[in-house]
Amino acid sequence: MTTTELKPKRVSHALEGDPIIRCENVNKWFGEFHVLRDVSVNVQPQEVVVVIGPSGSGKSTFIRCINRLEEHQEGKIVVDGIEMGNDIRNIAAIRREIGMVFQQFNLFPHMTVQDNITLAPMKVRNWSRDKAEAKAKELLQRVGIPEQAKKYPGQLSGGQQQRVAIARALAMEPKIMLFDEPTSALDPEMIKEVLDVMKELARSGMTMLVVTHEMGFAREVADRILFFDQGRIVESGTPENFFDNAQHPRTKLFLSQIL
Amino acid sequence: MATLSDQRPGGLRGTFVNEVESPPRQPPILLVGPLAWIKNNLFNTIGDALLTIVVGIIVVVSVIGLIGWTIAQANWYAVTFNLRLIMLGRYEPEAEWRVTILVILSAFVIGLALAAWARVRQWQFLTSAVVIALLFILPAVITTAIALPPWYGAAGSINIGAADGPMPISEVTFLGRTGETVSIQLATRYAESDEALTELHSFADPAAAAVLNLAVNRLSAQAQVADLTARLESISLTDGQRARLETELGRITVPEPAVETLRLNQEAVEVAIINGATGETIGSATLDSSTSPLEVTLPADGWYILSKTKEENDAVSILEVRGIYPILERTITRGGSDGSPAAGSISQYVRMTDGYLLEADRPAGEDGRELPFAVVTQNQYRGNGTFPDYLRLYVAPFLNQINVFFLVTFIATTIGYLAGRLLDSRFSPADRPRVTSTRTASWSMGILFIAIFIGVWGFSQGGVLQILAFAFALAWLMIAFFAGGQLPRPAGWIGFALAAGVALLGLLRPGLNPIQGLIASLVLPSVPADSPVLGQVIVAGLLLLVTALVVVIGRSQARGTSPRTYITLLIIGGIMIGVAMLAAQPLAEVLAAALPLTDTRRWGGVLLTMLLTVVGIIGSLPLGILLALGRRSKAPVISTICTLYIEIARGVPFITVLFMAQLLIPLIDPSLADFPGPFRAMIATVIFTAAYNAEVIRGGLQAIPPGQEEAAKAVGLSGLQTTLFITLPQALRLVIPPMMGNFVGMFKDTSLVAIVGLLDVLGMAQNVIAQTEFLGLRREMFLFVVIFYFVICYIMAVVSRRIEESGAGAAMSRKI
Repeated sequence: MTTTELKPKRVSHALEGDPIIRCENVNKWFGEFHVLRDVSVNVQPQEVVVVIGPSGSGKSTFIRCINRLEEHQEGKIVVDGIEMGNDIRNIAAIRREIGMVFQQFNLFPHMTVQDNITLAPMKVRNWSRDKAEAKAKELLQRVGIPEQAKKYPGQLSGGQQQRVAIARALAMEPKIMLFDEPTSALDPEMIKEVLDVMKELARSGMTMLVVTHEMGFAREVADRILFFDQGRIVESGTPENFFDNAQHPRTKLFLSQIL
Repeated sequence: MATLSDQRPGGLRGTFVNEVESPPRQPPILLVGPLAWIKNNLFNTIGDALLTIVVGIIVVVSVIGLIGWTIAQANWYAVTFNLRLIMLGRYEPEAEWRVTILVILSAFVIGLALAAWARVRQWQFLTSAVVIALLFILPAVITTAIALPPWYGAAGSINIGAADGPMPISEVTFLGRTGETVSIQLATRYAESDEALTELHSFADPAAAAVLNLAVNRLSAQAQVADLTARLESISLTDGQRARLETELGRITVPEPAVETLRLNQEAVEVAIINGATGETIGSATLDSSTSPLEVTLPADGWYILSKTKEENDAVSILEVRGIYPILERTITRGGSDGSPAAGSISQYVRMTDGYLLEADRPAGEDGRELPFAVVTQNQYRGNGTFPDYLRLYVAPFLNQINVFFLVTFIATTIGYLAGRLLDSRFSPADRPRVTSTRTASWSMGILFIAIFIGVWGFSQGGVLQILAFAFALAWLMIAFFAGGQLPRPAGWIGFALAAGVALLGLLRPGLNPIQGLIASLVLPSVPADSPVLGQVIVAGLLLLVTALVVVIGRSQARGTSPRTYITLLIIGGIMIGVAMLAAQPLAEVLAAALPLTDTRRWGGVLLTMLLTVVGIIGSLPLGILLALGRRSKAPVISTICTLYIEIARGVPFITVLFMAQLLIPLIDPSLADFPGPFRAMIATVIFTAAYNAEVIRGGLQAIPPGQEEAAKAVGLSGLQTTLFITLPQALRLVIPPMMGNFVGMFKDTSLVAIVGLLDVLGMAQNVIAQTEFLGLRREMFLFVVIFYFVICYIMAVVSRRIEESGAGAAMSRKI
């Protein structure tokens, strides 16, 4: 494959051994409402972190802060050695390295699947069309729908659309992938096909932050589980510890309700 | 078949389980097909059925009435005569070829666009071809199969009807052509009785018409008497009523039959055909009811005289003449070749039936005065027209005037379509089969717009509005690209930047300070431009566009462009610009000589309406987009300015904007008084429509879910890129129907320019029917204008629907 030869040298601003995501005392308010309270997390390269918690606990807001879809008001977020601030160049640099998958897919309905995937690499990374299309082909193969390249999102099922969304995020060759409840809008039959893609991605060594309610997935794939409640991380640990040996009463209550 | 399965173990009472596998069946006949449509849409309920019947009756009655009027009563010659005026206004005849070429070019581009965005099916092509062929075949068949109706002229030397009634003229001149036959006979068929006389229907001179009127009056008096007599015989009348009826009866006198008092066609008539140019008699005869018609074949084109004299003074004869037809006279003022006013006025004589035109003077009679001719206004069609006469007199000449136009348009469209298909088959990659034609069509539209503007107006080194057009064309091209999601790569951008830069440079005129230069350049074409800068600008810009076109085609052919290609393209582009700069001055002079400026005051008719519409659409779309984005801007200054603009423009009627453009502009600067009217109207149209477009587009932008913008940001697109590739294309697609509504409204609103003294289609129509020759023909004229507006609006609606249904729009409409 020629794309591997053309792959540019990726420069990391982070030092060897440093966490790829570092959050220190992140605080955020929606008006009067204190949605994130002193959130501090480090994520190491290739780590898979699953974020769970009741709705309204701030877990989605937290991962949206990491690529600046939401602005945090206090604290420090450092991604790949670049600090997130108001400097638009830093934001752009960070967004290039982070892929994101949304609950509602948010595919661009006026473009074909292929154009959805190739748009950002061509416009942001200035790839040639050939290179971007080769990459798109490879990614569609990887998510298992190579035959859908010429269709429009409206012509695909929900599971297929979410897989396209994953391919679109991966096309920018990000170092980190954020998943914001990727299976919540799917029919039960389609959840598995999306989770399979995510598992494969985790095995390949991608750094992942996943907000989900799929406990099976969390148990199987996660290196670490964060439990959010009222804007705070109240529990953090390996899946075994978390599911079988939860400490915090709120965690226990949550687990007893969903398991 | 569903079976009751409650006998099964565990089965619930009352549960139906489909145990037998049943194949899918056809739906019942009343669920699909035309029958179902009729039932569901026309006769669904009793109310529906009633409504259908009532509306159906109203439609049928009014359509029958309209068609009956169209055929039997209407005089369409006001339309068939003035087609050129309605199409082009008083546009210089010497410059007419430019419009022809522009029409051909436009048709070509439409063909390209069809290849890029639509598909023409075989049956559609064949149907169009058949229609075009019919436009030629029908008039040919009609002219050969149906003879022209005769002209009835009276002979005699008494006043008809009353002492001041019309008297037959003894000599009448007419236009004839080589080889035509004139045949004259007594109209004996109509002279037998008054009843027969009222059957007469055709062209008739005033005297013959007066005879006809006598007969009609007598018959109606007779009918009245019969009616009154019948009522008097009724037994249920009171004395008062009886007395009133009797006085009424006493007041009516039934005249003697007209055929008898006038001794119609009972005396011989001496007729002669005289060559108007030489004065020699070509044929003569004494006609009475027994002689065969006098037939004369005309030797040359020109004026002829029919002389008809009677020996008996108290008798009148009506002659049925074939070969003489009513004539229109118009006076044309010709300017001198150097543009000086009124070199002289010339009378033109046009034969109504075939448009044969002569400019020679009429022959003079014995006293030296010019002889009268069968003038259209006095020789109108009498009686109820027949369908064959309608076809022969109005349909065939009309079709004969428009068929060449349609044929040329059809051929040019076909060539454009084939060219688009050919481009695709040669240059487009297999996975994007239409990309070349799409790009070519997008670029051609921009070039066409410049071509229309320069072509219609002409070329001058001082014509700075051409730069304005150029700038708008640039904006238009960019939109064409953004809409397709196909932004030009760096080479294209450099081309754009250079073209825009050169265009801006042209605004800085030598001899004026930059601001004066800018204002002068923007608004005043009459500023003397001694410098060749302007010519350079336009020529360089055009060449750049052509270069860019080559670049685009080249790019889609050689996929995977390497930096070397860009460098090569840039070098080629640079050389072309250099050549353009060197060649600009001589080229500009040549162009200015080949395409001299036309007088904007003479623009009119369909030409002006279409110019206003095209400029309105192309100008208001980019402006509307900018305003919509500006109003949503986070910067308060920009959003306030845009909001103010939009609200003010929407808060005043279009007519006041037009008046302001017409009257207030000179107050800003006296030198602006010369600014041509059509351009003011164009600017007013753009200003007005842009505000409405902006609101529609803003609505579209607001309808885009916020997730789209988030997703675009998440993949790293900048704010500008997000707007250009994600939100704006979706919003524009979403607002196609309301925006097309705006454009249709604007197209119709252009008719308001008639109020500020411009002669668009409607203004021209009003102008025509104000002339004496066409007095009383306003219904025909306005009906024609109505049809014109309707056809164009309908085409716009169909195009809008096709755009909505095409490509990504169709896929998008299946909502996620």
